[in-house]
Amino acid sequence: MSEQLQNHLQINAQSLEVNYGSFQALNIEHLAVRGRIIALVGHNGSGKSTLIKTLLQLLMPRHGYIVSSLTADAPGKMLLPHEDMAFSPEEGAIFEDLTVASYFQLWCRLKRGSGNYYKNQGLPLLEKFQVQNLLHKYGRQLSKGQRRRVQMVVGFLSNPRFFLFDEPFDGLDVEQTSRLVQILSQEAKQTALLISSHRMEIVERLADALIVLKQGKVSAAGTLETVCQNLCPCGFAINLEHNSQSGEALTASLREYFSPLLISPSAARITLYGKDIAREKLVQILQAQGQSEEQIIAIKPSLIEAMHYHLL
Amino acid sequence: MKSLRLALTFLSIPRLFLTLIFWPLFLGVIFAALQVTLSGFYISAIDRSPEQYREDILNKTSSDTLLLKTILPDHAVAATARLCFHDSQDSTFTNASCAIDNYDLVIKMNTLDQEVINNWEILFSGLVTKIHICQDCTSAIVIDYRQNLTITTLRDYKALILFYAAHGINRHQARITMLDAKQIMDNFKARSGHIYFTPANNTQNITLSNSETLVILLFNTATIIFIALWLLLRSHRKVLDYFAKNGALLPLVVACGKQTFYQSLWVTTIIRVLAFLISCVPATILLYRDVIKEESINLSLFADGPQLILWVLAVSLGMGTLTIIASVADLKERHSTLSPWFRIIPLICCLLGLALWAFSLIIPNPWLYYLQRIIVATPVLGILPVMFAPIIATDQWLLIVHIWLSALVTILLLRVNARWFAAHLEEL
Repeated sequence: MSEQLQNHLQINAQSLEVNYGSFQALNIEHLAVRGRIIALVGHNGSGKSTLIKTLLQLLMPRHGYIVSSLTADAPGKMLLPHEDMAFSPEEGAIFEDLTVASYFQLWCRLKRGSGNYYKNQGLPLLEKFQVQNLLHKYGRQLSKGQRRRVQMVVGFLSNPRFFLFDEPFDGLDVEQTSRLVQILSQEAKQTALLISSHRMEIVERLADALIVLKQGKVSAAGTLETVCQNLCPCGFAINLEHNSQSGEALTASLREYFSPLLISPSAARITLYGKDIAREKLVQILQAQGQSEEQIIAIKPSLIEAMHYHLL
Repeated sequence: MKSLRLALTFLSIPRLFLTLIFWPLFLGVIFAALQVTLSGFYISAIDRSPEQYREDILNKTSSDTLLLKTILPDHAVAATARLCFHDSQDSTFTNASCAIDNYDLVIKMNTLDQEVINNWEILFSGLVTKIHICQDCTSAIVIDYRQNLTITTLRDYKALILFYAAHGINRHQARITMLDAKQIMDNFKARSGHIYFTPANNTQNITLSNSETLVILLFNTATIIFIALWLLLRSHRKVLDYFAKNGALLPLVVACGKQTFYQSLWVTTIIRVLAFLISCVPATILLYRDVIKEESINLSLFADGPQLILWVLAVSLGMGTLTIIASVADLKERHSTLSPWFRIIPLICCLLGLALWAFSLIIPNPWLYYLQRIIVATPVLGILPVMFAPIIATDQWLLIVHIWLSALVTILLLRVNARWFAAHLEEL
């Protein structure tokens, strides 16, 4: 087993129920997932933030449990929020009326016992995240990208073994997102990451494991491939031979026979994703429309397509 | 230790230092100053005998005169000032002895107004030898009535001191006149002996003799307890609001651990209340010590330890309940446009309780007798009657019931509030 595999993060939950008053926000019968970077995906209100807060022990389950551990640790050793974890919330944790330096100082005093830690041992981290030029700026003067960077430095200054991010890419432009992805990929070598995000294209690039939530329940969990396979096992592409009118007729027929089905028609090709697409039936439909069997190619759905199908 | 370190770190944030430490210190100093000034003045006024009072006034008058003599050693003074009329205006005294000295009083008028002249004569007797009435003469102190607008001109600082000495000495005279009225009131009190009020529905007599002092002491003590409790409750909100507003609440709780974080909140709260108490309690103790020394005042409450503890407990828990209700209402309804009203609802309940209690006290009816006791025992409704329990001689068992019920309501509120708080942490 490689070093990287040995340091995987494991998240396990059993019979987990988390409520806000009478509203049940999470109901997870069983969850077992492992990876260096685990992504948490789902639509708004699916329970992503609640799951993060429960992992951080900010919310207490009504029933059951959820724990996180590292595979390199002794069996049964769980990660504890105040010892092993750092958290970066969706809205950002930046003090408007403090300079970045004062914020670092405050945090270092809390977690490291010395306010000057960031100037000494923490300096490489400041350089890596390029925040030295922001030290004298107040929180209110920072752009969204700068706030994210400062917030990450604050998190990493406490040397966490497990860093949880709630929507870290929200509001970032392409360049800032790309830089953040790069940094997170590097940091994942030392720190296990859990990232909640709506941005499937980034999740697909970054994460090696996924938890998909829908209405407080786990729809799928595991590696990217497993999740895509579970959510959307079938995928076909049909290369069109004739004009666009035949394509429209074919699309209508496909919709009629395979519903619910994610169909993406274009001028020369129709792609369709779903759970129960029988190839024989597909051939029959194609032949009825004057198309040939050779036009059908089996394809693997990407995470974006699997999630689109899942959220239909 | 960890929570203390955390609390001190919180206090190193300028905004939190201002609200958590500086503000209570400032509040405490202001409270102590007000208390010492107002209560001290009132208590000393009602405690001093007429003879002491008269003596104080005369001492002040003589010290004013002494000051005057020190500043104006050559200034001639006569028991009665001589009136000198110049410029052929009924020139009765226009002779050499009416030469104008620098610190004589000059009154300028076109037509003689005898009433005005007589008033100034009374006011300046003992301070000047001559008062000159003229149209054009001058000295260091000139009062000019020649225009529609009266103008007083004081030419140097000595004239200023002389003029205001007249003001001060005459103010003392006015006080001596007031003293006569006080004498009448004191005689009334002396001849009444111990005054007891025995309302129909009260089992014990209410002592009214010297109750003014006791009311002030009770009010001061209750106010200190109330402010301390309010600071205590607001402290949690201040810290939580500050971190929540900056989005740092949850990361901070994660970083420090829930238990350490909440413990540090309590530490900051204690530091905050201590800051207030340190800045106002020493002055209060000094004030009370001076008052309690007076044997004439019935302060049995402050002499009897267990009774005092019972009363302080009742007031603290009663007011604690009140502030928690106000704070919870404020927190839960903070998005409502009516939210300021939720804060004063407990206050309205207190006043309603007081009104009902007063009504039940004076109207003879056996049912109202029980109502009166129920009100005193009930948290919130009974807090004002409890505050004045030492005067109205409330049964001790009623105070004990009030303490128990207040403690029960407080615990219930805190538990429900804590659950609600845990469920809405992210909303803060």
